[in-house]
Amino acid sequence: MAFLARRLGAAVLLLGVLSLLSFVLLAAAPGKPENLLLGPRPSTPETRAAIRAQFHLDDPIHERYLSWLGGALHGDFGTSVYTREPVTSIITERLPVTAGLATYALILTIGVGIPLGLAAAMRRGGRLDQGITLTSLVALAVPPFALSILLLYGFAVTLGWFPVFGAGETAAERIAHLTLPAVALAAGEAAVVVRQMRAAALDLVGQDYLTFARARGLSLPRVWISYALRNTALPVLTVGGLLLAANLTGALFVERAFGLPGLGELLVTAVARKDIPVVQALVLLGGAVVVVVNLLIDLTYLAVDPRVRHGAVAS
Amino acid sequence: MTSATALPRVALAALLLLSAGCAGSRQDRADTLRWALSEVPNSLDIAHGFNNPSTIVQFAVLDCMVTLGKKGEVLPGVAESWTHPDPLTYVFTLREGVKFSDGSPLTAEDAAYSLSRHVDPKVASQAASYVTMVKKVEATGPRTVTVTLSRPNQAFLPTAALAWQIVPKKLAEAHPADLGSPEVGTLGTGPFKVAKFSLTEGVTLERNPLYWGPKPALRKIELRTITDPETLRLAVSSGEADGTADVRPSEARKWTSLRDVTTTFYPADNIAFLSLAVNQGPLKDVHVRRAIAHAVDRAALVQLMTGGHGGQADLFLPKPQLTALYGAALPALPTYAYDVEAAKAELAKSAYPRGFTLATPYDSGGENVKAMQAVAADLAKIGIMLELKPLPSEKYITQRMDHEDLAVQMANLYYSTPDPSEVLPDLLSRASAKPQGFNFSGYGTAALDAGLDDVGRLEGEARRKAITKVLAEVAEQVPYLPLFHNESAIAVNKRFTTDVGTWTIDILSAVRPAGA
Repeated sequence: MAFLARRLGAAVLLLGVLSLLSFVLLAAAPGKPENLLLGPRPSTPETRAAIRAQFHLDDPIHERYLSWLGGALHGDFGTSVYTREPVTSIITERLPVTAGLATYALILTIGVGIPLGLAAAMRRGGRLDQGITLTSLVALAVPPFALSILLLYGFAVTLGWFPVFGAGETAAERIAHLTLPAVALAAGEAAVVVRQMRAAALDLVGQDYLTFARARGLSLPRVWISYALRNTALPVLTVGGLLLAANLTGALFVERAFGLPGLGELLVTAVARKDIPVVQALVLLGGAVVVVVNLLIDLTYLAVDPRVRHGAVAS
Repeated sequence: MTSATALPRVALAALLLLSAGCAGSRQDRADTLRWALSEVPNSLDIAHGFNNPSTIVQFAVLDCMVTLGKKGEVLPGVAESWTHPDPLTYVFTLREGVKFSDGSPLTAEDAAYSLSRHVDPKVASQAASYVTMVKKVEATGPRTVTVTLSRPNQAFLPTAALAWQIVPKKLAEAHPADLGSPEVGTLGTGPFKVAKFSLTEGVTLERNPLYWGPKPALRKIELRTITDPETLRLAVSSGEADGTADVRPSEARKWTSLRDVTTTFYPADNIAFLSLAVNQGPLKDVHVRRAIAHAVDRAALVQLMTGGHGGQADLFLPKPQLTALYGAALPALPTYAYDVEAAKAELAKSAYPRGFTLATPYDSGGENVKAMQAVAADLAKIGIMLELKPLPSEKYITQRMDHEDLAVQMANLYYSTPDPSEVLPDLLSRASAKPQGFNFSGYGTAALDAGLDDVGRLEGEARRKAITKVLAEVAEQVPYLPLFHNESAIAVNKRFTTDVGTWTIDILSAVRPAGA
């Protein structure tokens, strides 16, 4: 319990610092929201003054931060300067797309990365290992946006198997729309997991308990799943969690290439327009995602590895 | 067998099924148009969304009091006629029986409020600068609206074709700041009505059965946003989107080579120019400015920036405005041919015969990067060194609007009406030579201000003369160097046809199923 309370306290502190930093940095960055909003068109002084007043742009920065913080603590994240929609509804509209993409990509990453990494370790130095290692190197080297365009040309335009853009509306449509983006996002990440898994599993191969398990005549799946997989789980879980957090907040290039209205795309346009309420909410969300994912990873450590569990209780 | 080998097969089968289902849904009805935008429409109200992706939706849904014809002439819109009894007064008579798409009748009160709201600070309208000349708007009868101007202005009527979008007074009054947002939406009398408006899922429009005009050719329009230009092109080329008006002129050839797509070009209402800040440093000297005019190879710039879909500009107005004003007979004014020797000769007459160095900030994220580099290379040939300072867009825009470090700037401004009053006062009056104004040259005299007043006030031949006088002064003094005009383009799948020109306001209604 004390462990959880400590983590929670640290998380709140972290989010507070994050929100303050992003607020100050964005306010100090060049550019006036009203200019960016009005675009390259003559405007009247009255209009500019009204916009500044409406969004309290002339108040001292600490007052603006405190009033934002006060609202945020009550769940009110303000209204977007650009679209005049409540920030919470902008984000809830986009969250499903990004969450869907991130989860889909993570499933592909884990589903492909772990078996391939294990297989490579089992056949160490063999042709299969070389093939897998080479493929993962290539996948790691291709940037996601380049892969996106390749996939678009190949599978969406030439073969016509998948849609070119958008997120779809029904569940089936959503899966079809997110397949290519998820592949583009997962390719490099799966390669990371393959390398991680292979390295972790190689350490194991020489371990006595594995030799003993084999000597006891246990079936191969039993040896690999209950013994090898469980013992390699910690580093792979760590990487998997970090990848999930990264997918949830930074799938910008893939989202843009596939015309997906997701959070990464939203963050970049909001920063460019100095739409402070939207940026603040996204930064907090990103921070919270990282905190929660890390907490979940730590809790899974406890579940997976008794040694960690005993260590935590003892401390 | 372990599940490790069965899984990919199951997944592949599922994916194939899904994609087959997807292919099936592609067969849309012929009168449904799927339109692609390069940016998200942020508001269905011109007061809060005066930008291309938003206005293209607005004009399909909202009628204006008047509209523009093919040559830029002002035609009746919701007003069936109007009179202009004295230079300050316009009296509009509304069409009979016009209804909003919810069935409620359009009143003169609605029409009057739709214009006067743009000056309300609570609305903070982005179109406010279009209506600064309006003093009073009143419903003077059940079907008459009277507009009184504070000073005569020929631009009032053509700008009313854009800014005077008719909305119900009750709705607009209740939502001064967020009319047109996805939560509030809007209500119009136009050919289409909004069925759905979401910032993420796009906009769906349906034919408005109560529309007073001819029945719209399309039953349904679905607008989606694709921000990546290459993905947008792929979507149109694969037939997943039926068309777009967001074709970049510099990528024209990529579009014209698409098999099932017709790409049409038309002159844009724009002018690209260099502004030369005349109030300080070497640019104070008119000989320096003329030397610059001779030294810039504008023909090469046209090729670089428009890929053949544009032309060199000699007079300081958008080409379609010149055509609307003068027809084919443009006035003969001094021009500056590309001539390095002449440029050197002009520079020799100035106080800086051997040239000078100028710090020149430019927008590193904008479309003029290559052009600024070309200009700098041209000027280096006569000893004028531009020290190009790349700035991020936000910083550049702010700095330019604060009139800091103006020196030599490039701008490519797009306008909406055929009226030169939309262009000239903003760029040449002393009133806008201050921060937040668009007179980046800072050039201005009392006489020129009087000339600009004449441009706004006079009519017919007298007005043409007044405009020629202003253009002559610009050509003589070179506070601005006109560079080029370009074309806009619209691309549609061969299943549709378009009839779009420079003055088309409602682009979506100009798209029809082929053969219909």
